[in-house]
Amino acid sequence: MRARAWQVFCACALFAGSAAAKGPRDLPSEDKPTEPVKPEQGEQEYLSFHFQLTAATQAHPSFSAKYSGPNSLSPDAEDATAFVSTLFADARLWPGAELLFNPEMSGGSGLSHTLGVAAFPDGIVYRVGDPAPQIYVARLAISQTIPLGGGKVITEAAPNELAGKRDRNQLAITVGRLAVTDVFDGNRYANDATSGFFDWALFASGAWDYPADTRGYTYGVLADLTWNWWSARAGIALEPMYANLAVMDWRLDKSRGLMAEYEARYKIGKMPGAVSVLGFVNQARMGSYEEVLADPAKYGNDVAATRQDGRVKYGFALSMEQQLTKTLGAFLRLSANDGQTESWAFTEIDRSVGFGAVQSGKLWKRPHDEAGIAFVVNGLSPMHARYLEGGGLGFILGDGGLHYGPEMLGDFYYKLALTDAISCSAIYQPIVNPGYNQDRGPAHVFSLRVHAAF
Amino acid sequence: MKRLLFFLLLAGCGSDAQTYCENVGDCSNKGSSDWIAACNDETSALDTEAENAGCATQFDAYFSCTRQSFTCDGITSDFPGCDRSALDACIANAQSSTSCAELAKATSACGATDAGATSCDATRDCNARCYLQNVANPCAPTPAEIEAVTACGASCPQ
Repeated sequence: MRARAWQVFCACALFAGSAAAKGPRDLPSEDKPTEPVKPEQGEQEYLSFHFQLTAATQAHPSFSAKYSGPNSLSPDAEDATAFVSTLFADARLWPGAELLFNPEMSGGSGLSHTLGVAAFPDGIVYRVGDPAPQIYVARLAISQTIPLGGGKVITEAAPNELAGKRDRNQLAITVGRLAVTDVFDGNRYANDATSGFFDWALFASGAWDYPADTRGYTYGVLADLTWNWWSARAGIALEPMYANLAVMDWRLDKSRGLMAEYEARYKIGKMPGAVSVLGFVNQARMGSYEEVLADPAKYGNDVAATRQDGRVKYGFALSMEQQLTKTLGAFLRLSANDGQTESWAFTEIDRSVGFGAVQSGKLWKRPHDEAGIAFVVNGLSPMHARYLEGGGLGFILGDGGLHYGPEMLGDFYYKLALTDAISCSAIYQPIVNPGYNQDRGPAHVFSLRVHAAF
Repeated sequence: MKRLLFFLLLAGCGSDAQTYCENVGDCSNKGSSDWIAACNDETSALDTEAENAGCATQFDAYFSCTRQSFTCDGITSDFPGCDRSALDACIANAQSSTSCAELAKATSACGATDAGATSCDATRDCNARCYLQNVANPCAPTPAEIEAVTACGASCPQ
């Protein structure tokens, strides 16, 4: 463990310098209006390639646990390393249309095989059984932007974004394989685990069981209308056939994730802010906590044994971001779902509140450095908690018993910009009641993360 | 781009037997990669056995059926309308008429034990045929007969 951590540290030191890594993995539809431009500005880009690599080593010392189950975070000291690299290819097909192709390679594993913490502390790791590197298509989608006037704004070259100019008001429709979080649930300060907060409940709203396969991608149609100071979004996407697995259920009449979001952008004084509210209704072949609790013996105390078509999960997610000073911004994430059906695609969180702040290094003359501090409190529905209390297993939790308490986490990071393209972050995440269990923990997770983006 | 898409689609397609393992693994075994790997090993061995026994058609028919009719009820995998008995009967029938089976029958009177017809592959079958052709009394082969069996066995597939 020490050797690996030392290697990551040496890599950081080796590249020490200044400036920042680029990074957000957004689709064109996430474009926000910028300043108006003159007609001669905004040269069109027709093809772009970007690349990102993120690798992180995590470790936690031993912690006390009265008992452990098959899906517990191990109380013994352990470490784990994972990486994900993505090629972002983006081609302009015809006016307003872009083809996005993102092959991705990921490998390694999370602590305890990515089990035992609902808001898992490693945002680049997937709950896959095989740690061997795998190559797969992350995104293959076409995005069509329909201009709606309001003056011209510039879009800058970025991953999955071609440089050029466009109308301030627009409707963007993206179809294909994608991640719904590319368009929905954005937050300027808590949305990118490759270089910002690392916790699952911070790069997305914890209680939004967003439609995705085990790697976070799905197939769908997403629409994003941007009009001056507000945006309205709606989408439909495939749900997985089984909880948190790779096979998608193409029976749209029986299984789908529906989502709609409204975002308002504003300024308080000169400081920009935004608030968005997202509502979602997921229908999938999920199991029911009520049904398994009614007769645990009949179902082997396994919520999966109660799976049936037609089950629905609904909820909301509220996201706020506010710049407080020229160098400091704060955010809030609040989300909840009905908690009646088994967690299906993201993680086992039924209520979640997360808040924090990000301070730019401009304050200490390292403008591309960044420090972040955030806290997350997650909860379960009463039935979900009872299921785990009885020894039931979810796809990420299951200590064999439960003395319920809210899962509470901190996420503190310092991102050191090493070159224009490379950054290195040191992250500390204390976890109180891991897996909502007061009989276990607290655990203290330490991470070193390297992120390169070109 | 079309070629790339073709290969990407192809990469996502496994054999019917692999699909069987993935379906059952995902439905009944929480997607366990260990379980799916073990299942793939088993179906691969069955594939070889069926191929050697001349039962490839029955093998393909069965797993094609499982691919088409797979259903998952809760955590119970089901393949309504798919009957494996034709495949099993074909393999059993082929194995009972092999030289391995004949040799096992011939030597049963000697009190000898043999791994039996169930593990009969092409090499074992060939060696059994050499033995039966060159030995007059399977319970008491002469040194000359054993020499002939060895010479015959040299041309068997390894």
